[in-house]
Amino acid sequence: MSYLVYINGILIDLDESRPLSQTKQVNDMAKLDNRQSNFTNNFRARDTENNRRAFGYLGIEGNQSNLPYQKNTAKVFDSETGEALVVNGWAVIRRTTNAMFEVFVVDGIIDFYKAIENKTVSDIGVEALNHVKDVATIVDSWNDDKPYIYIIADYNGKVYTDDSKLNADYLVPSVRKSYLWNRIHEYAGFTYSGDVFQTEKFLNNLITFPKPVPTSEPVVTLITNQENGVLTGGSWFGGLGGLNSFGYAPSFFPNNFDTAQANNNQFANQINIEVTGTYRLTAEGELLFEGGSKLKDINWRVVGPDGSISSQGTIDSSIGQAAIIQAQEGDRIMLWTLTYQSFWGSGSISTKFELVSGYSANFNEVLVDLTATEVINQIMIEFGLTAFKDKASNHIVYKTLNERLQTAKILDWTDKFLSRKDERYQLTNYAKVNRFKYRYNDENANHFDGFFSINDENLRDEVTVFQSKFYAPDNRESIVATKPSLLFKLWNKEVKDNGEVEYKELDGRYYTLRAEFHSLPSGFILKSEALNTELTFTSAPFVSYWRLKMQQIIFDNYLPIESILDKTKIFEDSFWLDIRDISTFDFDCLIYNKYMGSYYLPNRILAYTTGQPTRVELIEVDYFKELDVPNPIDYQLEVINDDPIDYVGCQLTFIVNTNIPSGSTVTIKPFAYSPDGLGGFIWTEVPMTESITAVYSGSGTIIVTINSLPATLFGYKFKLVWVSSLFEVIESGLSNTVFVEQSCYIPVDPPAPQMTFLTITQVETLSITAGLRKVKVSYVSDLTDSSMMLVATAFNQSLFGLAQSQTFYLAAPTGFVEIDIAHNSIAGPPALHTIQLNAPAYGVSSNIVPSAS
Amino acid sequence: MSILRAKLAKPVISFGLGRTVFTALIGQEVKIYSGLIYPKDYVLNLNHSPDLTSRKVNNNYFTIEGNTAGEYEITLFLSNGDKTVQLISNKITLIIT
Repeated sequence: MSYLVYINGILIDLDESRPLSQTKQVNDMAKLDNRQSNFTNNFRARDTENNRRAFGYLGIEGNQSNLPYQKNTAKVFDSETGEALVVNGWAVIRRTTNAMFEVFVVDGIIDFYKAIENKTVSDIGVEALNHVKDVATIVDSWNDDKPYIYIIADYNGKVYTDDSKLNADYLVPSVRKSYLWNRIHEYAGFTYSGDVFQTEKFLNNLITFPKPVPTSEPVVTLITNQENGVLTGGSWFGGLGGLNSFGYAPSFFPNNFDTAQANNNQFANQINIEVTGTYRLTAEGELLFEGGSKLKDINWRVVGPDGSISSQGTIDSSIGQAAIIQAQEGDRIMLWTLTYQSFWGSGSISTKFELVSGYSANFNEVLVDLTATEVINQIMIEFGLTAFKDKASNHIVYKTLNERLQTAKILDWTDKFLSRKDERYQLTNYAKVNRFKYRYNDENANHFDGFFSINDENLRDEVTVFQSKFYAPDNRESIVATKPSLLFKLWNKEVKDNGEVEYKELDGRYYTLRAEFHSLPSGFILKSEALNTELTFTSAPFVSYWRLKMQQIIFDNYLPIESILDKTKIFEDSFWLDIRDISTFDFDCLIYNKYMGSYYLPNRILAYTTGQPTRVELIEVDYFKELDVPNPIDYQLEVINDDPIDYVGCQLTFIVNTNIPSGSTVTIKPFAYSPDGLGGFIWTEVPMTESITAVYSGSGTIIVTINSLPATLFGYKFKLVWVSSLFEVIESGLSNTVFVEQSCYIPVDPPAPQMTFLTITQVETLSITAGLRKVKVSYVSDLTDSSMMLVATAFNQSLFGLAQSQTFYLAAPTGFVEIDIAHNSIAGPPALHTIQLNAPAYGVSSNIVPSAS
Repeated sequence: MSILRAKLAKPVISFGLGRTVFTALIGQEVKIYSGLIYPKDYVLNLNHSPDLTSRKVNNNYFTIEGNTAGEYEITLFLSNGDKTVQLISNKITLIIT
């Protein structure tokens, strides 16, 4: 009837008037988003000398014991049989009175969660992920054994370099979840096992670096850093052609340096390269000369062994400018300034030469807002895992819900059954619609969320069962290096006044994604503009979002929950259990009761006390309920764009590659060519008051009649969309442009005159070459349409000059146009012109302004 | 299908991420994945032409390679300990060039 309780190794004198009882649980089905531990009731220890010593003399005035605030080990044994109820427990001292100490004991998975409580992923030690990013490490990460991979995807950065190569500076590393899972268990001092950890879905599952890898400050090895000296006399400098005037010039490296990478053994301003690599030349300061002139522009040039020049440039030392220079072994880097001075002045220039290794991808620094518990919970939810901690050791066995239900051992407790105490029909925390949610860049988005339903009118309408810490990508597809990619936004793009695109970094964007390797037989070039290095690759990992939508996760891992939660019955049955039943019970089982003729999932054992009936919370499992078996093949819906889209009259025929069921209704979304607000044009969806739909006959074609679209000269592209029975949205890419006959369109009435003014605000000459002046004309208007036809006319002011007009068909309501004005002068100054804009559709003309002189 | 019969679900294999056709070079090791988790007493083995050589890493992961160019169909055969359950997976196609 009684127990032996050891706290910190000391046997405690128990107060038998309030017997110890234990509630056991591992994964309350009512709370999918967290995991629970076993716990005892608040039992009492008597006020004896033994207990006073065991509890550090708590309750005595002036006592400084830390016992209530620390982890106290606890073991609980049955005094008659010696069976262990708790082997590796945690005793919490709740309070002390004159007569007793009140304590409870927790055990189970709590040790694991306590070990990682409030620990960030950085805290658990992920230094092995840190690396220096350059094109070589990116390509190297594509080997299987690396814990991180640079996955090629659209991160909304500058995807391609100016010379159309894949831009390495806008790729980020992703860490394997399996690595973090291992690392967290190692940190907590736990081992684990489970068949789920050998599946592809677990092993090919990663999280992005949550922000761009900074390219502002590279990782460097200093070669030399010197204050300038003075070169005098004959001005042979670096073999650049032998200027022979006498005077003074700066010597940037007056002292000799000689390292494994580079030296200036021959001349102060000539660097001899010993190791092929990327180097950084930085200069800071300036020299002041008599008469107020300054020396701050330092020229550099890379000259090969054969005298050929591979690159050159200038840095401004007054602003501490640096140049990234790619140089080969045997090259010479020459430094010089344009002029020699007759008299030396004041000031100094500090010049630094460094070998650049790359840019620091430091996971330790960025994973500070992701906790180990969040990672564990995300993976537990993603795979529907239950943790079964070994009672005596720090080993955890993880099982999926499917495994629990299908492979569990059956315990026949028919002979132990006493009575049915209670029967309930709702598990708390659920609703009619139970949502699993990602985070999104657009807070109103929910495109990759999922849900399961419970057919119970008495439940509230909906609830969020799980809110992920991780982001879902934007549902916008682009092509990156020939492969499709969703948008995993780590940069925001902004267009500056001068038309340049500025990439603004985002932070805290943990995206979950997979890597799919593809071969590119003709090769593709990966280039870093920051480092000026490149490599050609023929195979690489591209992004995949396979089975990562929440609806797919529910589909793959939570389908059996329907057999538990649909017409739920939660029973509280009374059983006569002995200490052996309890000490060996691990919840990895189903309970069978012949009297009730059913199987049950044990949810909780409530307040077990030796020698008394025990209440057990059981959830009935309907093993015969018909379930939708998950279709493990992703639905595909792809428009074949090899040939122009065929049409007869207004009827289009799309050739498709799809495995959606025949008879499915497909929505056809039209896209029109429209300004993108960034100075270019993109295909944007045309909102329709009534959807265009077609039924897929299963023959590989989808036929649809187009007769409700507004007229256009630019044609339409189309996207095909099908929604599965589980509300999974399957979308095709955009079709080729289709030009059906104009008679199929709804005629567009000429727009009512919505413009009342059109004003030129600035005219700027961009360039003048022989015979041609390029002029930028900025204007504003009150046009509310998205675009207009704009005619720009330049009037020659000379007596016989001609007017020149240029037409812009899709000009923005407010913005600028660039016009070319031809003039007869071959070499002399261009003729004067005045410029006027005209929007003929609205009958509005602008002010007339002179072109810039 | 009920939960009881779900453990009889046909195995599904792919070359990764659902791909059912894969082109490989002669001698190139190719990975094959099986997505479902079965009871411990189930035995899973690849069925394929003798021109191919496969290796089972575990019940969810296999490797295969071939030294003769051609198009090969591969399936996964599953049986339990007493052979009361015997299932064949979907077919996947390996093209060796």
